[in-house]
Amino acid sequence: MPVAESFRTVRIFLLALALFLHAITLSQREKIAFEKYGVAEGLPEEFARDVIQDDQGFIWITTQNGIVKYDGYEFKVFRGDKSDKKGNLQLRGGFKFVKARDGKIWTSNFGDGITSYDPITERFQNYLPNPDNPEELPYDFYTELLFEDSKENIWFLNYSRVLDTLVLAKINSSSGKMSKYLHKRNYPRFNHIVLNWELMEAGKDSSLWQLLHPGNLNIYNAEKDSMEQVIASGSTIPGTDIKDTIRMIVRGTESFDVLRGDKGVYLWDPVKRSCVESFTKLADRDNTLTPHNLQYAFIDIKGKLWVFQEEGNVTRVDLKSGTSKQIKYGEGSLKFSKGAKRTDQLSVFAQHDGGIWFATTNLSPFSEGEPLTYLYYDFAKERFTIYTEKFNDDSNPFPEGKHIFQFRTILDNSGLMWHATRPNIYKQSPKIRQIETFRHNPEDKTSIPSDTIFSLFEDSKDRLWVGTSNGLSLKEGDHFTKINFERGRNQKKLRQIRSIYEDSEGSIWVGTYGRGLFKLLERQKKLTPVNLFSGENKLEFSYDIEFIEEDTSGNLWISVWRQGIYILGKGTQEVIQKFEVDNSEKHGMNGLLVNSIYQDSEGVLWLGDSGDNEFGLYAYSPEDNAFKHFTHDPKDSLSLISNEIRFIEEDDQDRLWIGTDGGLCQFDREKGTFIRINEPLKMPSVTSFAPAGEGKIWISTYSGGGLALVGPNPEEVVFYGEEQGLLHNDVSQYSDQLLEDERGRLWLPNQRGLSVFDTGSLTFHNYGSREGMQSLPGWSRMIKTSDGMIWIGGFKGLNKIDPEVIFKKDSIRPNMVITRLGVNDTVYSGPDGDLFTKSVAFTRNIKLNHRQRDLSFEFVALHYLNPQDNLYSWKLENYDTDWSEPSKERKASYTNLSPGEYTFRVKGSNADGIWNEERASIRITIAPPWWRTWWAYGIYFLILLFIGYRVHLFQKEKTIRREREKAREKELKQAKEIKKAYAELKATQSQLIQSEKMASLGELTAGIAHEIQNPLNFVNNFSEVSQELIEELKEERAKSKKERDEKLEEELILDIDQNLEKISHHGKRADSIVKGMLLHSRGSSGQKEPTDINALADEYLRLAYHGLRAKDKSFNASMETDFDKSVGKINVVPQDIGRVILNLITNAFHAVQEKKKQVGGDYDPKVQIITKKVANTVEIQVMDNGNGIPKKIIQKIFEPFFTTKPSGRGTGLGLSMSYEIVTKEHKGKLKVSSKEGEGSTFKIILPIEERPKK
Amino acid sequence: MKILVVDDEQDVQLLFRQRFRREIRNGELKFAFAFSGEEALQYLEAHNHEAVLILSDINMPGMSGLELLEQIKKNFQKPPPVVMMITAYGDRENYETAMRLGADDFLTKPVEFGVLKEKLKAIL
Repeated sequence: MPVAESFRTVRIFLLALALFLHAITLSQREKIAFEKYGVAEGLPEEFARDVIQDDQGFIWITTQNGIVKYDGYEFKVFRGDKSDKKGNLQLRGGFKFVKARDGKIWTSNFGDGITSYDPITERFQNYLPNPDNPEELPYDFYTELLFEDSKENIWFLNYSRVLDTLVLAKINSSSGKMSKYLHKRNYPRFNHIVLNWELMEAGKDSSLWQLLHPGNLNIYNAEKDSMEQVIASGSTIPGTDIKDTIRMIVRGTESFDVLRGDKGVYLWDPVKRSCVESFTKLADRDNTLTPHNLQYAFIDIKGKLWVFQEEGNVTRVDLKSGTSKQIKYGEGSLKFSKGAKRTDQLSVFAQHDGGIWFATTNLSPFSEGEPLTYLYYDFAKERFTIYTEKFNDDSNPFPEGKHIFQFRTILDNSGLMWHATRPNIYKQSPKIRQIETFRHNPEDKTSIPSDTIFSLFEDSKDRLWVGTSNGLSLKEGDHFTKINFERGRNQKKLRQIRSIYEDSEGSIWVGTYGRGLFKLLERQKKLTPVNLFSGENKLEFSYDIEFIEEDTSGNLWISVWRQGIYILGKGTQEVIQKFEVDNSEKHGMNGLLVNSIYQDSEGVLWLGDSGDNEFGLYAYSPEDNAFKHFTHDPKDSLSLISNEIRFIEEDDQDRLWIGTDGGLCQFDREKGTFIRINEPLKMPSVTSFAPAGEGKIWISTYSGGGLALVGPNPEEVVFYGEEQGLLHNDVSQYSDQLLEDERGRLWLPNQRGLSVFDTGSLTFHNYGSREGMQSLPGWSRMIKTSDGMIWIGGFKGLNKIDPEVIFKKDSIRPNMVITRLGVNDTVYSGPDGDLFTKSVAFTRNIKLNHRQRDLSFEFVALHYLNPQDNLYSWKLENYDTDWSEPSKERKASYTNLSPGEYTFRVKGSNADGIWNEERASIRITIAPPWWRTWWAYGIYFLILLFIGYRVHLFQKEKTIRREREKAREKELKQAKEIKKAYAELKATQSQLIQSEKMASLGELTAGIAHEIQNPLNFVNNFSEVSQELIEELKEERAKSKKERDEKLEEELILDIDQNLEKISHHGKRADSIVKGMLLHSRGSSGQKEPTDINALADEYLRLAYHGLRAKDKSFNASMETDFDKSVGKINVVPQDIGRVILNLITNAFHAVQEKKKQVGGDYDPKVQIITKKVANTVEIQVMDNGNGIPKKIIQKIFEPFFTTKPSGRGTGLGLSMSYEIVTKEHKGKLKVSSKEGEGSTFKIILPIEERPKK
Repeated sequence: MKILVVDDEQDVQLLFRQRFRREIRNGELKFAFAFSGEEALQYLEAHNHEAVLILSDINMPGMSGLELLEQIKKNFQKPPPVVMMITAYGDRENYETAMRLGADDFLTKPVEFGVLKEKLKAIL
């Protein structure tokens, strides 16, 4: 071969390539995540010795203390039981598994012998050591299974306690017949076990070959049932002229197998009993291998030969072309800091179409070796990737440590990796982590300038601009380039970049908070300030830009906070027109916080103010060069639903929708009015919009029902919230547009993670920390770039998501198995010999009698990607008309089935929603009872005929009687109606009273929620902290006496004690709030009891304050209390007096709020509560400094139904009820005094009663 | 680093002291507490603005956390301290106002102390 030179070139090239690729892998290493299954999750013991998947799809695990079957939900543990019950496991545990072609699972154990499990009968067959019987296992020390040959023989090695005394044996899987053969072996290395290198079944003719220490190659003669020598140790290898000793034999391809001798590797034709091709380390023969000692060799599933030699020489030979590639262990892509240094510690664990998994493992479970590393050889890329024991993912549960014993790695039938190690078993999940996050790194100037993202924008050149709290940056490759601005007199930094906009001429404009407007100088990559105010230089920098938007004529509209709207002429930086707030009387635009703009299909430009103020919505008319103003009017249900505008958008039928902080409404162009969408509870505030076609729209809500689909008629609203799978109902977004990708998926980041809603299937997919997705506070920014990536920015950096990767579905369908079947009260799994001759899973047909009519089916879809999300759907044919709705339910029950023929079919999907259309099914025949046979029906007919005649006679008599009764009933009915009308009247009255109670409760709920939240936070926090303290205390106690810090212990105990007190205190606080609410909502018992008036007043003051605060964010007032401690407890009905106090306080708050709105700035709203003991009475005063009550109405305020609030806002019963409660129920007085413009004072005067003596 | 915590709930003091006991013991963090916005301003005045970071509740009787924030960011000539707002009401109005007034971060109650610690470490 003229290859020596070219090999060297190839090798150098490969090294360079490998180094280059290595550099890439460092910056963007693929992470593989695992889930742990250990004792806590259901394993009987920590040492998972082997793992396989059976033909049905179940995962089997051996441990030292039992054998385990796993279906994705539960671990079924088979424990050794020495009693000889039929079919039980008699081994304490298991070791290596061999799966036979008939579906049986074989394993062995130290000292215990061999067992096989038959899934068809669900029984074990045990073969225990018995030295006395030559037909059975001779030794009781250790048995190691090898493989199954083509004649259904399971081959194994059986050791005596003296390890070098052993036999090679086989047992027939169906007959159980055992034969033994002399065997000698060298000290086993790990790859012995993995590659079975002393017994081999030839690929070409299934002949069996044995390697007998010290290097004699035997063939098994089936006729004589004995071994015959073919090559003796140290003799010439047939087909070559090399004298060699064979050290290892491994099954190869369908043409030849692999023999490894001291000098070379031989491709062995088992039929010709001759070597076809050899590769040696002898330098004078060929150069494929290096001169180093040989370690091991095997042929991979792509038919290429791997040879491992000492000093880390690895050669992969393409046997067809004769070319080869060499890789030096410890160099290039095989260079690593951790892990085994020698190639003989490298084992082939799993092969699949894509590549080979190797693990560097230390053979002995008892010695301290190097930590585990894994190598993946990719067939297509022809290179290795190195994984540390954490698989490059720091949050992996995969254990660190040197004592791990790894025996087997498998890929299950869906391609997921499983590791059997000590301790635990690990399952790959999900396949890889999907979401990448860019964070600010102060040491890296090319990192994102800040973790707080305010705007994201992609320009027409496909460049991504990121506006942060620390200026603007441009993403270039993996780096971020900060864009500075031309420094004039003002040297201050750019802070919040709120808007980035590209006009139709390709110029980029940047709006900031605090620093005004900038334009990008494309060549210098710098920003230059744009001055909007002529001559007023003081404002040059310190103003906030709300939006930048081009109108259809190419002019730029700029909104400036508190200033107005400025319009730059097309292609210039000149202000050609402005609508300033200062002269709003000229044009009608007076909004201070205008940050929505929309030009509708009729060319009308709409502006919206998002503040909690009186501004609302404006429509610009070019003819008048002025704005039409729309606002919310509480008295007019056809007005705007709220003044806080979130978005202005049109649907596909050109209907204009206005989203506000008070809900959603649609503009009626003809009438100039608004149609409100009345969903106050589930749509209290809407944030963003996306058209859904056919006049429908998608809406996201804040603290409401999640995502909503509205339309085509405004009253048609469907919510998709937490019940439908959304992670969190608060999906408020910063942008007025919901992000929808090309496939109709809405992206909804929230505080719990990321929910993606498929508008086609109407289902959610959620991503959390498992996939690398962070939880985001509300109001995050999002963009989809032209390369299809989704970017999400919040407070914690910028997330990049590749939807194609995240939605890559696992196309492997689950295996579907019916596991158990219940008939009446008995549940069957294995065969009982009567109904079932095979296990339920293998039964296709059963026959039942008519009493066996209650059936239940249990089933499982075997797919381990995320088994808890597997779905099921089933149908009992001849009973169910449709397939059941997909659900996570794994049991279907039917009761009272009539005799007949049924077929139960069930299908399942994996967590990615891929369904197995090959359904599992079982046919059930229920035989009819004797009384349902044909002759029984004949007798029934005759009996019916007779009964029919009797009934006819009876009916005739009855008709006559009925006529008489009818007349009498008429009279009675009239009397009843009068009674009913009276009752209704009574009910209405009490309903009115109850509705007043509930209305006041409604005012309270928000306050109560807030009030309860605080104590609950404390309870949670203090109990968590206490746990930490107890941990610390334990740690301290575990120390030796000398090291113990008793002072610290004392301190910790004191703290815990204190915390418990706090927990109890806050628990009681929450308790009393809830009790208070319950009391308030409950109808009054009328029972007077001693009540602490000061506490009652304080409680209702807080509730009223938070109730109002939650309803109206702008509300604030100072509260003063002056409680006379001598008031103490007096005898009142607490819920009634509480109601009175609440009513007065709420009124007071309303009064001061009203005044604040009118007067504004200088007014300091104040509400005071004073209690006083005066002689034999207690006074409770509620004072406000509001507008006071006009003289002409002060007489009327205690009258029922009198109210000054707009209609629908108050019942008008509050004060009249209060009056009744105080005067009639408590024999007290309710007084009012008021000065117009200065405030009102309400005084409750309650007599102190003598306590009733008992 | 000195951190001023402003909250009208008195038990917050005890809670923070325990949650950050290790950091306090190691001298990594120092805490001061104020139970109203007014008190917080007095504290800053009296201690020559030594706090580097202020964690403030928004809803408090009297001066609200937002008013406090405005005062701090407006009146402090030196580099103003980092201010994180904490509120039970995470609505846009609060958020936007806080950001406009120059808040450096915005947390909603219940506060996750793990997250808070991370943030404090990042600032450290």
